[in-house]
Amino acid sequence: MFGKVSLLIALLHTLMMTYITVENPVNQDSMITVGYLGMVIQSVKLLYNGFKYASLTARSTGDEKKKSKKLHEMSMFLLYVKTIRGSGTIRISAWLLRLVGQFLS
Amino acid sequence: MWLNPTYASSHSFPFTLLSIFTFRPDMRDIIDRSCCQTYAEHIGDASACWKSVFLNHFTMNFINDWLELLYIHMKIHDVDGKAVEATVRNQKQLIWTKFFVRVIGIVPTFPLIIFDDSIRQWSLNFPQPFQFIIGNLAKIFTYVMILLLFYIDFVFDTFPKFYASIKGFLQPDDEPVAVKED
Repeated sequence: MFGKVSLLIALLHTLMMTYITVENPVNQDSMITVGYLGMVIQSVKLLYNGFKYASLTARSTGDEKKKSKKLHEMSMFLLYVKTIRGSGTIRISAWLLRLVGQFLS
Repeated sequence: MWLNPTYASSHSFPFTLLSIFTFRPDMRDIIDRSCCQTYAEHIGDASACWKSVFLNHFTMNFINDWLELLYIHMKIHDVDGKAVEATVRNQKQLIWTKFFVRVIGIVPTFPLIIFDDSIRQWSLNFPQPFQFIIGNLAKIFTYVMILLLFYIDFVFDTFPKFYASIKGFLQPDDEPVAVKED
């Protein structure tokens, strides 16, 4: 059940990312938009991998099952790390850059 | 001298390059995102802010890579058998290689971004098309970095020999990547 709910959330999140990237509300430079599209593609790939390995885990046995489960876990964690990009990391990086900027000014 | 915002562009390029690690008054404006964010919020146009937005993306990628490496290092110590451990080690190798390619890529890109205006001035001494290439060095390197940051999986998938050739130099730890199964 957890997997199904989080799959729905991840799908909606990815759709929203794509929408914002295409809409480009603050008129970012084209190279930044290309970067954002790359982020969308990365997320879709990880989501697909997670889904694939989850179904492989359900179907296989023994070492293969353990391996698929581990790959599923890793894909999902990497997707999680990708999706928290805009929330907390932006503050940390803004703070880091501000520190550097203050030091250099 | 340091209070003059046109200091860098009033000198020729080699001298500017020599002062790469010195304090520049407009350094803060160049790398601080907040001014650009305020600008974008009020005018609704961030097309002139690509340098600071890119630097933010790079720093965020740096933090994300670190999180991924931390997680994958924890996963290696799970007791799941050697086959699983080999899989995790391969993943760790991949993430580690991506991390290093990005870190190496930023070394020329960062000074090019900071001295973009000076390089543009300096490029006027050259005939076309060198003028265009030299004048847009910062933008060209940033495009390549964007590819490295966001499309590295596709770069490695498309050029497997490239990945194979660099991963040997960047071993994440002493233990071998391929572990024999029992």
